[in-house]
Formats: sequence, C-alpha cells, structure tokens
Amino acid sequence: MNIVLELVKVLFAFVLVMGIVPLLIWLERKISAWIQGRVGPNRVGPFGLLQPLADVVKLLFKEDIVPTNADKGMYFFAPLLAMVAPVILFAFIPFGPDIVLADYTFKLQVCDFGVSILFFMAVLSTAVFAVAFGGWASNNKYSLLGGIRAASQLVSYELILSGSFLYILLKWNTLSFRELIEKQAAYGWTIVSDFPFSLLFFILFFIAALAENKRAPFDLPEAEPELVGGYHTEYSSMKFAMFFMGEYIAITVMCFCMSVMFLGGYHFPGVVDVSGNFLNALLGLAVILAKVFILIFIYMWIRWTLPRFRYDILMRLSWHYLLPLTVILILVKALI
Amino acid sequence: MSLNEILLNIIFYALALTGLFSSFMVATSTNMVRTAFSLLGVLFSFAGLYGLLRADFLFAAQILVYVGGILVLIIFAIMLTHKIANVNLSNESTSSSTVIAVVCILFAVLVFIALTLPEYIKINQRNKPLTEMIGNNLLSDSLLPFEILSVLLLACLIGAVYLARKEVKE
Amino acid sequence: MLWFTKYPVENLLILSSAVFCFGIYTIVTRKNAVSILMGVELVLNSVNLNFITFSQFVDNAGISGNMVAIFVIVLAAAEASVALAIILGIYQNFGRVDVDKLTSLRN
Repeated sequence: MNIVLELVKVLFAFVLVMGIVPLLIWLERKISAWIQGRVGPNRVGPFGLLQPLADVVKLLFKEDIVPTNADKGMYFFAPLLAMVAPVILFAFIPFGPDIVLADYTFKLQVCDFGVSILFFMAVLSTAVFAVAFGGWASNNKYSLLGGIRAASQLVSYELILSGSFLYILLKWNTLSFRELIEKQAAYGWTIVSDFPFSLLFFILFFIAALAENKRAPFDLPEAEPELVGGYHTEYSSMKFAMFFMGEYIAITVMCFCMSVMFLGGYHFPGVVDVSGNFLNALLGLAVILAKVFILIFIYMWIRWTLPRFRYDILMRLSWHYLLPLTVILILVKALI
Repeated sequence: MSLNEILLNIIFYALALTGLFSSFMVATSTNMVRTAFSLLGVLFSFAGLYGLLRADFLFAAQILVYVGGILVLIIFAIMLTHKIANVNLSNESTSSSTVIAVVCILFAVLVFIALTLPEYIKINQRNKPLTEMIGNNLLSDSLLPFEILSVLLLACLIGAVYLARKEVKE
Repeated sequence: MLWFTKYPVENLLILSSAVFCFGIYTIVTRKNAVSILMGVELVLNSVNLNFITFSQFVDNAGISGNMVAIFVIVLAAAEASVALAIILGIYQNFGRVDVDKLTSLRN
C-alpha cells in the first residue's frame, strides 16, 4: 500500500514538473507579447493555451538531422543530460506539506534525505556537461563557442549559488529543505526574519540563478546575433525540444528552490500548516505554486526588459563584484 | 533472498559494469574529449556505489568536487591546450605487450588479495545520515588534518594562480 | 565468491582493483599530460572505493574510511588544480603537452 502511494507521489511530481513546462512556454510568449504591445498566440485553443501542444507536435514531426561529422554518442547523450538533471533536482524539493494519514505521515517530497541541500548542490553542478559536451559534439564552431561560454559562465556563477546555500546553512543550521520550511514556519520566513542579509542573499541568489539558467540578460551562450543558436545550433526536432524543455524545467526548479529557501516554501501564516489533512496539502501546493509563478513572472519580466550583457562584463560582474560580496557577507554573518 | 536484495544487486551490477566499461574507455579511447566523457561515467558510477554503501556525504562530495570541479577543470584544460574545433582530437597511447602483461599481473595479485580476505566482516547497519557524524569528526578527532588541509588548499590556490598567470613583460 | 550476495565485499574490491589497473595502464601508456592526470584520478577513485567499502563492512563503529576518502578527494582537487596550472604553463611555453616530446629544460 505504501509503495503504491509513493509511486503515485513520484508520478505526480513528474507530471507536475512536466506539466508546468508548456504552461511556461505559453506564459513566456504571452508576457513578451504584452510587454511589446502585441497580442501573442491566440489561435490554438482558448487564449492560445494549446499553442505549446501544437509546437510539440510540430517538433515531433520535424526531420531529425544529425551532422555528418558529429560525435554520435555524445551528441545523443547531451540533450538527455540536459533534461534529466533538472528533473532529478526536483526530487529533492518538498512541494507540499505532510499529509497525516491514519497510520503514517505522507511526505510530499520525492526523496527526503537529511542532507537534501547538499545533494541539490551536487546535482546542480552537473548542468555544465550537457552544454559543454553538446556544444563540442556538434562539430560546429558556433556550437563550440556557445558550449565554452556556457561552461565558464555556469562555473563562475555556481560559486555564488553555493555561497547562498552556505548562508542558509549558517542561518538555519540545517541541510534539509523540509526542516528549513519547518524552521521558517516557526521563526518567520528567511527574507523577513534576518532582514538585511537575507534580502542581499536573495538578490545574489536570484542573479546567479538567472545566469545558471542561461536566461537574459545572461543568455550569452545562445546569443543569436553572435552565435546563431549557441550550443544547440545543430540540434533539431526532439533533441532540440529536450534542450528547450530542460531549460524550462531548470527555471521551474530554481524558482521552487528560491521559494523554499527564502520565501517559506508552502507555508503561509494562518492558512497553511507544515503538516495536516488533505485540504491543507492542497492549499500548500497552491501557495508554493503561487510563489513560484511570481518568481517566474519576474524572470520573464527581466528577460523582455533588459538588454543582453557583454561577455567580459558578465565575467567581471561575477568574479570582481558578486563573489567578493558573497564572501564578505558570509564572513560578517558568521561573525555576528 | 528478498526483493530488496535482488534490486540492490541489480543496481550494484549496473553501476559496476558502467564503471568498468567507462574506465576501460578512459584507458583506451583515441579521442581526447571522449576520454573526459568516459571519466564522467566512471565518476558517476562510483558516486552511485558510494550511495549504495550508505556513504551519503561521499556521494555528494564525489559529484560536487570530482564531477563539478575536477572534471570541469580537466575539460577546460583540454579546451585550452588543444585545437578543439576538430572533433577527432587524437589522444595517442603507446601500448606494448610488456605494459599489458605487467598490468595483468598487478590485477591478478590484487584479485588474489581481495579473494583471500580474512573472514571478519561485520555488517554496519547505519541508517542515519553520515554527514552529521563526519562534521563532528572533522572538528574533533581529525581537526589537525582538517586544518592542515585548509593550509594546503590555500597554498595550492596561490600556487595555481602564480603558475597560470601571464608573464609580466618588463 | 557469490555473484548474488548480500555483502558484495569481494565484488567491490575486484571492481576497484580493475579500475586501479586501468588507471595505471592509462598513466603508463598515454602521451598527453591531461590524459595522464585522468589516469591518476582513476587510481584515486578506486582507492576511495576501497576505503569506503572497508568503512562500511569492516569498521563497525567508526567512520575513519569515510574521513580518509574525504581527505583523498580534497587532495585530488588540490593536485588537479596545480597540475593543470603547470600543464597550461607548459603549453604556453612549448605549444604542446605531450610528455615524451618535452625533453628540454628551456625553450
């Protein structure tokens, strides 16, 4: 019985994270249209909601072209890694409060280790390989340049993400996302309970997450005017779709992570408790999804408002300003 | 044998075969980037084995440091020291029958030692995460190595920067 | 030796010795300095696997094997960064990183 429940939970988490992707694609097109004073997709389904579905069907029927001199094995492996790594990341994140059943508590988190933040950091650092190997294996100068850019950008900004995780560890003294939310429910959300530091770290984490997800204004790896399509120039059909979906899943997971770390996750004072009945869990799910969608809206807002950075400015921003700031903030926080 | 054990065995053999095949590719592949890619396979399968052996902190450290750190450094080194625009980066190896014979003898000796292991294996039923124990141990019993390591890391940081910097023209 | 066993100590040791031998083979036969470094990583990984195996199956109370493995990983990171810095320096001076061609002390 328990095994069946757990399997249903895993399936639900998978469907949740895959179901958000088409919604995000639709949302991105609608928001970009809104910001640029256009209408956006409005032909397929109500409000164009079925547009992503039409896109998927189109991509599925496209011819799958493999470049003649590509390194076959790695060329096939890269999109797989690009999509699988973010899906694994989602397994560590609690997406709803515990449901107290008659005989045991049912956790809305796929795998609940004591040290899930550590595992999250670990799996996050594997994102480099999809772009580096994918860019190299295509045997195309533009892809290669995009891959190298992406690799060095991801490595640079990962340090800031790790610094923010370190801050969370210092502040809450725990490495488990679940305990993090429980403590935030007891002592107030991170962003308000430790005001100047938490806000600064939230901003740092947000900037680093933008760079880690290769979103504008940091989307140098796929800068169209310089690199055609970056590391996925040579990818077509379903392999391109996998890169694309992996990117959106990574965005979703990062927003989930931010809402858990800084905004109290599924907790909302007076409305959602950290454990309770089925209704409570549904409310919690709604709360965390609302937080995630607000963050995703900010992501898209930034993308369609700010121009792209130059590459040397991007690197200097990370190594000369953000990283020293992170280290100094951690030192000050540790001393206080 | 219960279902759980059969499952564990299947996972173990899958990981072990991946590790074996990948390390064979590291040793014999004729393509530089493919070698690095195979090393990725070895590191991942070993991380999985650490997880199977309930060393959860080592699992995270392996992926964080080896995969996310050392392998990225190696890939950067490959990209900076080769003309990478070409997919067929050669990675020469000079194999001779002597080397193969010596390595085979070494393997035979190691396997012999492994098979004649004394029978004092006790089974460690650890179920709680190791990370807390390791953290306590680092700041109590192994404090001295820990501090020496931090000095070493500082030294290697300075040394690497000194070695890799551009020569100042006078 | 059982192929399907509850405590696969021997299997783990054989796996680690095989990987160790592949690492030695890589170190001996490769010409490229970066490849030799990869061989060293293979050797270090196989040793780590041994330490963790013994930590799990032999050392019943303590975690010494895990501690040694952590120190090995940290040392490997330090070694890799310095070695790659040296390789980059060699590449800047000589334009190649094949260890059999680097026979002069100065260019």
